[in-house]
Amino acid sequence: MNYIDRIGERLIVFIENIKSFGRFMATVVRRFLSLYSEKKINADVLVRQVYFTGFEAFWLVSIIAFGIGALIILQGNIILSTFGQTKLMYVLLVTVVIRELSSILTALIVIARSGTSICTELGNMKVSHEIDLLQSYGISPINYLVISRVFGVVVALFTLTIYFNIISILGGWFFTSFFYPIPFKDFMMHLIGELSVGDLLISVIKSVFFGFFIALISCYQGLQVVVARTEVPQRTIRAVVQSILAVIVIDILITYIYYLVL
Amino acid sequence: MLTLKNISFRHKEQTVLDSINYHFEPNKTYTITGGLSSGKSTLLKITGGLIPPTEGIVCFRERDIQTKGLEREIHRKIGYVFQEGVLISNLSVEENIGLPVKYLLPNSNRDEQRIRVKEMLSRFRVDSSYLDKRPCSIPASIRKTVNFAIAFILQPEVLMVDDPLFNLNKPEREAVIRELTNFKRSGGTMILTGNSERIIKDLTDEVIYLNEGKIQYSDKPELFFTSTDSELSQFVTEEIGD
Repeated sequence: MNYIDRIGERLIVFIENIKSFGRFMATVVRRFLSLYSEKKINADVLVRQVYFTGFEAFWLVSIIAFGIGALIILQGNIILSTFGQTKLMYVLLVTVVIRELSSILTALIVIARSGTSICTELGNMKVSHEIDLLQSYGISPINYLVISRVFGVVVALFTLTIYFNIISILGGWFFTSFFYPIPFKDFMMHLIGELSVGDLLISVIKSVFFGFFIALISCYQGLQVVVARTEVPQRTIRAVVQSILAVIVIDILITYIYYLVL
Repeated sequence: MLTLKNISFRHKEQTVLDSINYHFEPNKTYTITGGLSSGKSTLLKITGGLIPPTEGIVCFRERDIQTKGLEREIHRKIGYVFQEGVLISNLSVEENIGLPVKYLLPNSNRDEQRIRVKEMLSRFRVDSSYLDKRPCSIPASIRKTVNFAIAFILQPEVLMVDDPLFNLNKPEREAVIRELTNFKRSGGTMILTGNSERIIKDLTDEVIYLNEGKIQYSDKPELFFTSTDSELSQFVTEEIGD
């Protein structure tokens, strides 16, 4: 087999994988809409997913958000003060943290904690025939396992992104007050002056799309495990890599559309 | 009742099942037997609608069991017990029992169901202290008997059991054989797999011998044990036992 053949073969496999994922996504969306209208979403799995992805990640997100807010102010203050433009720190906080980093860093935390856990859990369920067991009861694994997890991760990531924004602003204020003691109220007035509804909106819109694709990719890869336990870590690595790539591509697309519209 | 039409199953490059045609009649017990990796469990899973065949269809009362939207109706009538006791790992034993009951018998009276669950567990010698335990903390034989109990609680018309006596200790074996015998007497249809002499002699109406992905033999157990076919008699001598 020559080099061109190998490239062609890989391209065919890549296209087949995309088509298979597309079919999976279409099924999940269709089933979600029908289950949502019938109020039949598995509440236990949903609550557990929101608790694990959202609540249990709260402290980790808080520490990172506080640190990022502080670092942006620290670095910004050093560079901007040389031009006498320290007021631009608020613009920096809005542009870098609220528009970009809040959703993307929260997504990375969720990939590391929840994406891996979802993929491993479903992969192990597949190996130990638990998915077959559900099918033997006539219960669709997509309805029972996937939809609640996807919905749970979307809700949790949306909420965590809002937390991230609030805590990074607090971190920013905390470090600003080291250089220029400024009351919190004044800090917020300056920040709100630079903040538009669009900035907040883009942050949460991204979080919804990120959550949807992270959960979907993790579930998909977990359910692709066939027979061996050794496949589980391999699929988990794929889930992480593909989720990160998806987050970057979606981020670029949404940011591009945002600047195109505004 | 159940008809296999031209069933083939391939995994990667390997042909596991090759153009199988068979008709399962109601109120009879079938045992699918064969050597290691002969495709017994795969054929049972395909017959039970758990995996789709690569080619062909399985009909339950003239309807393709893979038809979308029929899952609940079909699986309400077909009970399935896996070779190794399988339970959902993040649910307790009680929740594991409650899941199919809630889903497949949504209109049943809860108190009646609770009594039935307790009665069924005691018939399979499952101590009620296991109810709040997770599957990983109970013995494999108990997991399998819980599977049997769940299948019987749902009162199926057809019961499919992959190697009924595998992983069971003596008391649980006796309980399982007793309940399978009662199910047979009550007119239920059973499709079993495995090479247990006792199951074939005491319960089976028709033995199906699988070899190289094809049905090589299908007849009454008496004839199966006295067959003059050299390959089959060698299989009986070497593989059939308890």
